Amino acid sequence: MNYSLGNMLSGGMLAGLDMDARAYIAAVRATGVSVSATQVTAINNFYKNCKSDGYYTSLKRFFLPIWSNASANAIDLIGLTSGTFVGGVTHSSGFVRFNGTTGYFRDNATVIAHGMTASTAHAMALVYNNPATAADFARFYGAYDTVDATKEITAFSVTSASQSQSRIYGVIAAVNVNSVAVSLQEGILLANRSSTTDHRYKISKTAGFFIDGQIANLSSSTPPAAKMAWATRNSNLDVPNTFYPADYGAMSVGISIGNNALLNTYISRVKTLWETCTGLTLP
Amino acid sequence: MIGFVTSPTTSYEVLQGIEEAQLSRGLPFFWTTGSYPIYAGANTGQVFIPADDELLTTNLRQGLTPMDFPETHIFIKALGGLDARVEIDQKDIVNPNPAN
Repeated sequence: MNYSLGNMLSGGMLAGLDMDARAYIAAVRATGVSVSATQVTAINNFYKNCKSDGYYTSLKRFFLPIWSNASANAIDLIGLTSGTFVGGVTHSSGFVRFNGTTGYFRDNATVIAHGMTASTAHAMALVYNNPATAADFARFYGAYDTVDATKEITAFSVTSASQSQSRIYGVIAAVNVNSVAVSLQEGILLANRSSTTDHRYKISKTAGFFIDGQIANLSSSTPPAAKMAWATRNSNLDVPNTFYPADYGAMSVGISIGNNALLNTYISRVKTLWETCTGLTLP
Repeated sequence: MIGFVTSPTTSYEVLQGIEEAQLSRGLPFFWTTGSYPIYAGANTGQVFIPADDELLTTNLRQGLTPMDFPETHIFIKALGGLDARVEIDQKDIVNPNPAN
């Protein structure tokens, strides 16, 4: 038998791939999705690069919702666990569209269970399209405590002030990062906390960083006992509010990715993965 | 927004049924309609279960949609049937006092 490499990859022969990449691709295919040779290669490279870069174990959950069905889109690349899509979500080729009123995606473990503390945390969302119709304080992602406002990890738009803000267990007054029109708050949003005082927030677009700031966040609060959600924020009571209407292509949550250089490397890895797999271009 | 208005108790049972339908097939719990407290309007105090046609035909896996599962028809019947769906203003489910 004489198979070309392309046939071997797209036909289900996954020998030679990273072990975790192989398991993820098999899980996606089990939902009825076709994974092309190009996508297999991109996924394999992502795993290998994250491992060689050194932050793979910081990624407690990573989701790549590009497969046009809910089951495949909910698969976590790291542990093959599943998140849950809730309400008005459209599963398109290349991204999921949240309707801004009921649709969101919820991780099924609390941020505490992920090992996130006052000195180590990250959250990421690849926002392909932001229609800029969000209400004030609508969350790109978030987990929060209904009683203690300092126990929140989130990123959101302040529409009325054209601001983008990030909190990682931060007091409200310390989180302004930059003034930027809501319509421009798309790309890869990454917030990272590598110590009790080092909190960075970035919005990276194809043309470069739109926001790249370090926040002097002195809060030593603890994380909420809540499960992370994207396109809203989820409470410790599992009740979401402040929904965001936007298209998402990747999401992750976990402990600190590392120093500033590693954050930028991680962003470039996510961009390459998503663009190669979808054929789309990050805004 | 189109869906069902019901009591918190019934809503809880419906969502539990949706979750169980997936788990009982050996699947992860990857999809649900959700339910949302109604803060304003004639149905204040009740909850809203979204159930428009797009939601009920979401591509779940293997080309199947929620309407391909018998449990979906059971919960729709329990809520009064598709004709019992109502349209409510999205503002009615927005918490008027969320912390910023």
